[in-house]
Amino acid sequence: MPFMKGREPLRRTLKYLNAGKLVLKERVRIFSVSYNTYGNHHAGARDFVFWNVPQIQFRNPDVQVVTLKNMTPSPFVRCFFEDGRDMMIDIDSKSQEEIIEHLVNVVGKTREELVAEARLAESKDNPANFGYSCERHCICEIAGQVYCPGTEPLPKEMRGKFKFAQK
Amino acid sequence: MLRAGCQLLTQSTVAAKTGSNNFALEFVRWRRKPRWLPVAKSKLFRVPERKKQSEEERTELMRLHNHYKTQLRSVRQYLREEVVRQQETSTADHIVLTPEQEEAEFQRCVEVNNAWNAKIAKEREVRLAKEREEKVAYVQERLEAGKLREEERRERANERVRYEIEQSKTFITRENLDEAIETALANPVDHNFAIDLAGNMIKGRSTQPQSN
Repeated sequence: MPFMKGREPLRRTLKYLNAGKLVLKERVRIFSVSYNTYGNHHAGARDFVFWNVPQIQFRNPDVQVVTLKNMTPSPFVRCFFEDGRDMMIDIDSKSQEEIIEHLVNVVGKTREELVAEARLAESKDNPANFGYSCERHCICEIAGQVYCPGTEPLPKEMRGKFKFAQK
Repeated sequence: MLRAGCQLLTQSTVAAKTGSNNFALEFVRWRRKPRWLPVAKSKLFRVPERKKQSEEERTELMRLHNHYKTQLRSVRQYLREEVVRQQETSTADHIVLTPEQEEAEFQRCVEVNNAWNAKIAKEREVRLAKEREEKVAYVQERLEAGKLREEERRERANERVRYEIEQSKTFITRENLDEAIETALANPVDHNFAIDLAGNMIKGRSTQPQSN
């Protein structure tokens, strides 16, 4: 799609996609929404598909997201789990906000999990970190940094023996 | 061990302080008393006098003490939190659930969802009942309107039939055809007319205007 063209191009901005609240649990494999393009009690489902499905797709790249149009008398979300079970969520005459809130509550990861995962990812991702469970054990592994004193003596200007020696 | 021994020693020697003791702990001192020697006999029952503190000195000391304790507590808390944070970020243990926990969590979600579905089902029942009623009322109304329309149409048709029957009395039929022809021939009608500039209609082919 071209930049800022079409209906509500805001939905395609990275900021909007990243702001999606629903990150599905690990066990969810397929996320399907059934709704109709007409009828007042499908209005919330339509809004949900229009506004939130892009976010869900973006934040859950490993989940198949399906929308089924005009095949049902009342709208619903159906999640299939990896062990073959599934969960049916009725969204009849509910608004978009109510739907997303309930989904976060039922099939989404909790806030604590998300925060912890973000932290974990951060500590692994940041190449500046060193120490346990990082890419390098010590800063001395970088070329140009000071060697570990155990491997090679520190430069003389850093050693007390020479710094404080009487002249 | 040494200290305990010393206590025993002092207890045993308290009774016979002035008398001779078995150990004959007498030392000649040229400088400070070493740590391991017991209290000197001349200082044994000396009670050191407590230093007198004035009121403001006491409050000032208390203030400093409180400050120090608060600061130390906050530093300790910060360090403890830092350790916890470090542990959280360095491992994934605290977010990985056991299968039983996962199952329990799933059951909780299912229950929440069932409650939600039941609530919506109730609302939908109400909505559908209302819609059904509205539909029934609408159909009823349309049926009645249709009946009315049909009646009116029938009425109009009857009217038309009556009118035609009334008209049929003057129709020309095979029986009175000759009579009608004779009447027509006897009374010729001239449909020609002229219009003058004033807009007056002058009927007939041979009629002359009145004026002139």
